[in-house]
Amino acid sequence: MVTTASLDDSGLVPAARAGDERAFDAVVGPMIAPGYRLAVVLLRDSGEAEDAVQEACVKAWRNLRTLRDDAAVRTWFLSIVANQCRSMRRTRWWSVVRHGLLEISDHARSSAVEDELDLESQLSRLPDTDRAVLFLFFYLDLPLSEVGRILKITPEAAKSRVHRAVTRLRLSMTEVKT
Amino acid sequence: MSDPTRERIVATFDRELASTPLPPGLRERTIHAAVTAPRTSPREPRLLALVAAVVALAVIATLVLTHQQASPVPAVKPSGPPPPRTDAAVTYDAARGQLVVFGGSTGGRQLGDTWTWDGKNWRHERPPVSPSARMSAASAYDQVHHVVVLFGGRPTGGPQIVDLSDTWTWNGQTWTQQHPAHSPKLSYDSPATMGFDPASRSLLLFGFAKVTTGSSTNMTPQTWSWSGSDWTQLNPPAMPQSIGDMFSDGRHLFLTAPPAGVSGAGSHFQMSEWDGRSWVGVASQNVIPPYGSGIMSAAFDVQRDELVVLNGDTWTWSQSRWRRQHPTQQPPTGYMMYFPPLHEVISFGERWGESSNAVSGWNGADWIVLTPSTVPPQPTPAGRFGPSTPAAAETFIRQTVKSSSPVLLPAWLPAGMEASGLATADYFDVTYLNDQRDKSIEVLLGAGSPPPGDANSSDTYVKFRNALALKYQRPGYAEYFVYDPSNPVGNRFLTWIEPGTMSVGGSTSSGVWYLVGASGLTDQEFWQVANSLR
Repeated sequence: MVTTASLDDSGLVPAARAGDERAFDAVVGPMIAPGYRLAVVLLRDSGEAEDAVQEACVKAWRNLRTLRDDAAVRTWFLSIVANQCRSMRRTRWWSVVRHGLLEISDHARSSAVEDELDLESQLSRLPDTDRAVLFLFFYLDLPLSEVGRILKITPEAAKSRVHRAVTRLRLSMTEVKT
Repeated sequence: MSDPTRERIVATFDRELASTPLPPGLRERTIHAAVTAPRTSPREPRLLALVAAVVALAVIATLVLTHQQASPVPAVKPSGPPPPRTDAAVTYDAARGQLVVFGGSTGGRQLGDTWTWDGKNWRHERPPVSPSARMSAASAYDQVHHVVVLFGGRPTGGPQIVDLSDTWTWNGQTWTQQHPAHSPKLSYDSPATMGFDPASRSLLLFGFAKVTTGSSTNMTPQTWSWSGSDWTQLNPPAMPQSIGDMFSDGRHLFLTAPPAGVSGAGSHFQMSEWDGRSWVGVASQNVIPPYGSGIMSAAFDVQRDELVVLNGDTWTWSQSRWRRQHPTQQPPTGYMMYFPPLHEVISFGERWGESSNAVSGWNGADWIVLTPSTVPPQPTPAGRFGPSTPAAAETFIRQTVKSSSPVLLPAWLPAGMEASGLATADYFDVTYLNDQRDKSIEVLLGAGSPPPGDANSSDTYVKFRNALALKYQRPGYAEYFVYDPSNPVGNRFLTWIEPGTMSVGGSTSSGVWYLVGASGLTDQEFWQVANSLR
């Protein structure tokens, strides 16, 4: 086992390729949380999201040697998660929200709260691909070029989907930067 | 981008994700499970030894032959199977009797490699010229020019992603780029498909182009024909609105397709036939297999005169009738084609996944593994169950779900259902399917949200059990959504808050969200299920 104690960041990927668990954790570990959240957004099910991330992690471990650009771990891992989600997507024709989030009705809610609940409802009704671009672009704050690489669409298509999704949410949009 | 928009979307995702927090220890468990998974199959050392022995024999044989003959004989160098891959171009090369695999993606990396399989051995080809690495290229065998034709695809390695529109041919030894005067400009948001029409003796390409009119962009179906040197756009009066596979029964060319758009009205597999001028819908005598998750593959079994489809199950179609088959082992939905040297349909790997690189053959009743996978099988995730009887599933769910109460399951189901799903301490989700897959019922802890886009859908509130109040509604009512009321067995669901307690992420709240959804059930059957929940 190679120790990571003396490795700087540039040595982590080679060490992980060589089989060092701690180095692999240092490289891929920080991606588990965003990968899980992306899977939740795409699959709308925490159990399936957990499965997707676990399978993606196994694939990342097995295919780490194929990572050409050591600095592109985030894009590479999230694209594996997105692909895993695509192959796991269930046959449901409705979307399911597990919560928590949908609390018991409160007729005394303020209109602002109702607006936010309506936004939640609209967001939950968007197609998975639209939800994914919004999550990657707004929530993870990734550039459109990276959003495109993760979802295997062009940056222009990613930009178009962001615009379309924001329009469907009936929100305002003044500019999208690539 | 206006900051308020970003802030509201982030806040909305925050609230949504708060209900599904990162499971404790997920990072540690996931990393540990990954690094303890073998990077290569335990079979591989033996396989490599076997390959080495074969290669050694081939080298010796070559040396002997070279010594005896004036001209060298190329050594046959079988290799292990190609890495598992998604979105590859896979074609049967009739001139050489080989399967040809090009490109795709594995482990997040795009591929530009070429492999062939002769019915027994894999061979990693190393042609002097190859198309660039890409996914989702369309390919087919050109029976007139005796080459494999490959068109387009999408590379995803660079900072800018551009859909490709180049054309290549494979002659068994190398790839050659063609330079047609005209090329389709197709979008690989919906990957194109290609096939050879035996009636017109031409290679057809079907895909979607992005057409911008004013401020709107639409995906427009296009059909093209390849002459051997140039592409010609055809103008059929009717075209499918979605893409599946092309296949030929030896007489005509067919195109399979999922339903276009939202499948809430019932997801049915569609098929069209090319009549030389247009795509014509093919009628079927009985219910066709549900398109399911959107993942399917198809090939025509010339030996048995029937279409073979994989979509999680195995289906055959002959004499306008669909039949579900019951093989002892079900391969993943792979790259399928008829393989004449073996007189059977084969399926290679997994078409939209990387779980396998095996080749299996369909003998008319069962799938037989022809070359085994070197990808180690994944362990079944904790909490997954089925397929099993509904009674066995109920026992497992009631034993497992302890933090959310009550656990409601149907006491009545249509006959012949099997159950599968997931159960954890605070959650369950069970799906019941009948043998013909035309009836499905799902019961889960959660709330439903109907798909957008159909003005005829019915979304009403109905009196049901002792439900707690939903938004804007009085207690005792559930939301009942019917996607297409004109369809007597269309999709529908019921969602409500059951009095009880529900634990999510360690915190307990009163009221349990429930959803019962169904496809293929009449209204009466649906309510019989819903009213039998115990």
